[in-house]
Amino acid sequence: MVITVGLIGNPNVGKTSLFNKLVGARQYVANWPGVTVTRIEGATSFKDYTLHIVDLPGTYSLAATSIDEKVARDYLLYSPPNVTVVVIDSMSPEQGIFLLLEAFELGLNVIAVFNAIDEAKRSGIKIDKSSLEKFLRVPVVLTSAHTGEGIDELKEKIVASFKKSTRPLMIDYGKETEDKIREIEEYVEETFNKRFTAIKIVEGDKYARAFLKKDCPNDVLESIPQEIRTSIPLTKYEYITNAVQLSIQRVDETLTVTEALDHVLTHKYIGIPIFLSLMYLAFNFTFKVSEPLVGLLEFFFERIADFVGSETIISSLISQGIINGVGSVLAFVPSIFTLFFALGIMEESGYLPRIAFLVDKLMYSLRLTGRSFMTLLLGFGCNVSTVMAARGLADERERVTTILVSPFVSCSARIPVYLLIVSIAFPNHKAEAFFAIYALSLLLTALSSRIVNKVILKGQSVPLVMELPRYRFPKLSNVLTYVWNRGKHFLEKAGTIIFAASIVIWALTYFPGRGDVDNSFVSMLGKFLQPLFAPLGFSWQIVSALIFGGVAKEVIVSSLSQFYGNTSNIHFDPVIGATLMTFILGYMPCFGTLAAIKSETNSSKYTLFAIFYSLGISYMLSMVVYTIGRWII
Amino acid sequence: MRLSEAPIGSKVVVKLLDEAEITPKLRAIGILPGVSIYVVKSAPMGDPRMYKVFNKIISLRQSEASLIEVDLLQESTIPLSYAIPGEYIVKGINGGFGIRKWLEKLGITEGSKITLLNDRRVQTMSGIHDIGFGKLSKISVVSSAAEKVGADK
Repeated sequence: MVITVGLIGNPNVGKTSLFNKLVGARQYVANWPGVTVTRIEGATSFKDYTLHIVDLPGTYSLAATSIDEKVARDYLLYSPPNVTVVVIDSMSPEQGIFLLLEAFELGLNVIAVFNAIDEAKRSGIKIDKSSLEKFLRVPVVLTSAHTGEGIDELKEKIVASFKKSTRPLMIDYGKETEDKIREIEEYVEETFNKRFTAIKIVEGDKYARAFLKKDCPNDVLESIPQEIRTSIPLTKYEYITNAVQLSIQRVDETLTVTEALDHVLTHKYIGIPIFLSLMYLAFNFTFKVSEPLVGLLEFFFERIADFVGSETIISSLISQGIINGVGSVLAFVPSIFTLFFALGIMEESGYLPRIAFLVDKLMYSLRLTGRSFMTLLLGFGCNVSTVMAARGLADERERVTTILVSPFVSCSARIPVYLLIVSIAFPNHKAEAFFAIYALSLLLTALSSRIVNKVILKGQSVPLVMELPRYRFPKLSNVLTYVWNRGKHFLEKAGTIIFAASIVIWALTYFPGRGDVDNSFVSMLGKFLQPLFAPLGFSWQIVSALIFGGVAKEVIVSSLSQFYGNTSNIHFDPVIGATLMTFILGYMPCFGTLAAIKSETNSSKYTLFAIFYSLGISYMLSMVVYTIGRWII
Repeated sequence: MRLSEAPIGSKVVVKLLDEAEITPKLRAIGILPGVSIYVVKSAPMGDPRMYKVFNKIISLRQSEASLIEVDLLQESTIPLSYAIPGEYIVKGINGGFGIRKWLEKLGITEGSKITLLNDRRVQTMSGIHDIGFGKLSKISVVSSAAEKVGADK
C-alpha cells in the first residue's frame, strides 16, 4: 500500500531536515527561508506500507503570493495527499498553528508535528502534548529532525491516520462572517472545498476569485467590510493564543544567544564592515588551507603528463589533451571545496538572512529585495541555481531582473580561472585580488540590476516580509552535505563538458601543425580575432581561450594550459591579469546558464539581452581597467 | 501612530491595517488588531526594521510598517523624546561617558525618577532643566505608572 504524505509548514521550520530523516535522503537544508522552491519527493517503507513523501515550499498561509507558495497550495488543492503533515516550530508555534487551521478548512487529513523539540527542551519550554491534541483535535507528534526524536512515532501516526482519518476542528467565525461565507459559497464553482474557497475570497485572496461562477454579482465581493475580512485570521489567532497559553509553558524572556549575536552582527554601523571582514576571512582561509594541496595536484598532473610524453598523436592526446586539459581544472578542486566549506558555515549558522536585512535598503534602491539578494548569493555556487531559485520571488519583474543579472555573480566555475590568473599575476596578493574581484562582481550585479530596471523593465519596488531565523551552531555533517551538493556539480562537469572540450581544443591545437601551437587552427582563430581585443592587450592565446570558455568558464584554464604546454609556462603582468579577470567576470553566461535563462523566462529577447549586454559591459569595463592600469604602471 | 514611527525598544499593540496587496500576508504572520509587537532594531540607514511578532523575528520595510496603525503600550521602554508629559523612570542612557557624566550632574541616572513637563523641559531632584531634543532621545524611560503595576505583581 502506498500512502502519500505532504509536508507543509512555515519557511525554515525544518521541513527538509524532517524529510531527510524520514526518507534517509541528503537534501541540503539552508538556514534561511525559501530553500525548497519546487517540491521534492522521496519514499521510504514502513511496516507493510510505502510512504511517498512530498516536501513542499514553506508558506505562512494557503493564500498564494509567490510561485513557490503556489506550488504548495496547488499541490494540496489538486492532488490532496492521503495524509498532510503540518510542521510547526516548537519555539514559535503560533504562525505554524495558523497554517494548520487553514489546512483543516481545506478538509485535509492532518497530523501536527512540533519540530525542534530538542531546542525547546534546552531553553526550558514545556509542551503539553495531550492538551494540544485536545485543542487541535488532531494527532500531535513532538519531533526533532536534529536528534531523530519522534520520527518513528510520526511514521506510526501517519499509518494510523491513513487508516482512520480524523474529523478536524472547524472554527466558527461568528454570525456576521459566517453569513457572508455562506453567501459567497453559493457562487463558488463545484471544484474542491467550497467553504475554504469562500473563506479565502472573504479574506481578499485574488487567486481564489478565479473559482467564482460567472454570474456572481460584483457587489457581493465589493461589500465586504474590513471587520469581516479581519475577523477570519483574528478568530484563528485568538484560538491559537488561548491554546498555546494553556498547553505550552514558556520561560521568562531573557537575552537569548540570537539577540546577543544580532546586537553585533546586524549593528547599525559595524554590521556591514563585519560582513566584509568575514568575507575576506573566508577567502583567506580558502587560500591558506587549499594552497599546498593545489600545488601538489598540479605537480602530480604535470609529472604524469611528462611521463606519457607527447611524441605521437595518441600520447599527445592523452598527455596534453586529457591530463593537462582536465587536470589543470581538477587541480583547483581543493580550493573550491574549502571556499564552500567557509560559505557553508555562514549559511548554516543563519547569518545569511542577516546580510539580507543589512543590505535591504541598498537593494531597495536597486528595485530588488533582500530576498533576491539571498537568491543571488546562491549564484556563488552556480548561476543556474539562482535562475531556478528565482521562482521563489513574489514579483515577476523582480524575478526576471534577478535572472538577468545572475550571471554577474561570480560562480564556482570561474574560481579556477581566477586562481590561475591570481597566482600568475598577483603572487603576493592572492586573497586581496580575490576579494577585489568578488567585490567587483557584487558591484556589477548591482549596477546591472539598476540598468535592467531602467531600460527594459520599469516598475515599482516590491514589499519584503522576511523572517529572520534563530542562529544555530553549524553541524559538521550539514556543512559537508552543503559542500558536496555544491561541489559535486564541478566534478561532474570535469568528467563531461570539460573533458569533451579539452579533446576538441587539443585537436584544434594539434592540427594542422602536428603539435606546433603557433601553426594550429587555434592560433589562426586567435590571431584572426586578436585585433578586436587589442584595446585590452590580450594575446591570441587568451583570445582563443576566451572563445572556448563560452561553453563553460573552467575551459579557459584547460585551453590556456594546453596552448602554453602547461600552467607553469604562462606569464602575465598584473595589468593584463586584472583586465582579464574583469573580462572573465562578466563576458558571457555559460551555455548551461543561457539554457536556464531561456527556459525560465521563456523569451529569446531576454536570452539575447543576457549575451550582448554582458559582452558589452565587460568589454567596456575591462578597457577602463586596462587603460588605467597602463597609465599607472 | 504608525508601526514605522514606533521607537526602537517599544512595545506596541496593533489597532488596524490598511488594505494593500501585502495585507493578507501580514495578517497570516500574525500582525492583527490586538496583537502586541516589540520593535527590536533597525538596519543601517533606518530601514528595514526587525519586529518580534509572537515569537518570530520578522523584518519589515518602513513602507510596509506604515500600513499598520498601532498604539504604544504604557509599559514599554521608549526614548524620552517620544514621551508625552508625565512621570517617568530612567531605564538607561544610550551614550558615551561624556553624556552620562553631564546628565548625572542634572540628576539623571539609571533608576532616577523624572518628570517631563509640558514645555519639554525635565524636572529632576536637582531642579528643572532644558536638555534639548538630541539628548532627550538618548534617555530611555518607562512610565512610572507602569512601573508601579509591575512592582505590585
